Parts: sequence; C-alpha cells; structure tokens
Amino acid sequence: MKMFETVAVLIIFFFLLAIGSVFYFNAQKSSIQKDKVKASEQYAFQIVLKALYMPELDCSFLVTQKDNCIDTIKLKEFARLLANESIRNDYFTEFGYASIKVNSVFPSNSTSVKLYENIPPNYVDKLVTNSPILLYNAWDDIYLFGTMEVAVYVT
Amino acid sequence: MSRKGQTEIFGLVIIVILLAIGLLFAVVILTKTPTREVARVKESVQAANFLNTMMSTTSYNCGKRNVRELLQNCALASEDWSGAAVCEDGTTNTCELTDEMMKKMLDQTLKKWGKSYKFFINGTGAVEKIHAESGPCTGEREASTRPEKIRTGLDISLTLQLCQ
Repeated sequence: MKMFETVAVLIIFFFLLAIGSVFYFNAQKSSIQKDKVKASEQYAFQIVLKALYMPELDCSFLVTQKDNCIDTIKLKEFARLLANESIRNDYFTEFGYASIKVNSVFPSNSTSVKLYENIPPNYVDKLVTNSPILLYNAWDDIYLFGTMEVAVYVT
Repeated sequence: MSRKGQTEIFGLVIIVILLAIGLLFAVVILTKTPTREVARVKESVQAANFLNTMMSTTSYNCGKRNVRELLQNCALASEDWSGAAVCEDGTTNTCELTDEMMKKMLDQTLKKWGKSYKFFINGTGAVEKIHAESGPCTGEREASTRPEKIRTGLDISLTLQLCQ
C-alpha cells in the first residue's frame, strides 16, 4: 500500500514536471522568435539609415552637407554604376539582401530610380520602410519632395 | 501513522509550491506586452524626416520659394489669409499654396502608406488654419515638432503625429 502511494506521488510529480517543461520550452521558443523578429527589424532599420545618409549621394555645398538630401545627378550616376554586378557586390557588405528605390513625389511623381537590388533566391520575410527625402535638382536649383523605399529581405 | 501523515503533507506542500511557481511563470509570460521599440524609433525618424523634407521643398509657381519661406510670409497674414503675398499666377497666395503643398505631400506619402496622422501648426492665426489629418488618432503616437523662426520674437511650431 505504501509502495503504491509513493509510486502515485512520483507519477504526479513527473506529470507536473513534464507539463511545466512543455510550457517552459514553448514560451522560450516564442520568446526566441520574438527576439529574431526584433533583430531583423533592427537590421532593416540600420540599412535604411545607411541608405539615407550615403556620402555618395549627399547634397554638399562648400563642404557643408544638407541633411536628409540626395543630389539627383549623383543618384542617377550611382544607380548606373550599381547596375554593374561587380560594383554592386562591393556594396553587399553595406546593404546585404535589400532593394533601394528613390521616387519623386512632389510636384510630380515623374522620377523613379532603382538604386540597389540584391534579392536572395529564398527569403522568409520582406521588411519595407519608406522615408521622405529631399531630391536636389542642380540643373534647375530646386528641391523636390521624394521618398526612399528600402526593402530588406530576411533569409 | 504520524510519520506517514508528515510525508503526505510534505508531498502536498511540494505540489502546491510547483503549481504556484507554474502559475507565476504563466502570469509573467502572458502579461508580457510585445515591445515596439524599433517601430517607435522608425516612426519618430519618419516624422522628423517628413517635416525636414517638406520645409525645404521648392514651390512650383511662387518664385522658387521653399515651404519655409512661404510659411514665413503666411504667418504674418491675418486669420482669413488676407495680407499674404500673392504668387506669380496672380490667384494663389502663400498661405493657400502652403496648405495645398502640405496636403499633397501628406496624401502622397503617409496616407498612401496607410498611416494615420495628425499635422498642425501653432503660432499665429493664419498658420493655425493649416492642418491635416487622416485616419483615427486616439491611442499611442509618435510625434515630431519643429520650431521655425518667423522674425525676432515670433516663432511657429509644426507638429506631425504618427498614430498607431
């Protein structure tokens, strides 16, 4: 009888332990997934900031940089350079698997330049961030309202 | 008998302790709200970039004046926008053009991206008439405020709130 009681207590104990373990490991799994999503978002945001402040495209006057501005002449030339695969590969360390597109919005949405594109064959998520940016047209000395669309592919 | 009773109570105490720990753990996990740190920083940067970009954008038919210069003129007009300088087309004044440009830029960007927002200017009666909003804006929001000097002793502030 005493033996039976001991066995019953042990069974209940291990049963509770098993339920607790299942719950704990599920919670851990969900927490790891959340951390992974957060890390992907942080990485994507880093890429956005790098793209927004590229020295190759800045509007500089007398060694002074204008904040949040892209020179459209530099933009077109840089996009032409990045169309070359070997040059694009040099920027892989900066942007990784991503695509960067610059669009003009105001006064007209006439310009759309694909600056960088490197899409992996397989990806699990695509994080898109749009940010307003000033487009400087040096020919006419005017500033247009544009947007930069950065899509980061999570593999 | 007494020894057996003690062992049973000891077993029950262990079970109760295990259940209490499990319950506490479940409560902690279930009440943990997901963090939006990255999204919040992103929205804050987006709002600040929007105001910065908008203020430097060149107008299309008002002597290449940018929005900042148009606002500087508009802010000194009366509340019904009379007294604001008239642009080259002879019909639109600086306040009307600023209002039109700002609304177009907001429509083509934040509204198109499906974001709820609230934009307003404080400072003078004329500029306070310029405001725009889209979608519901009742809960948590990220905002950017940008002060602009009109003349010595007169400042206005532009605020853009991005709502969730």
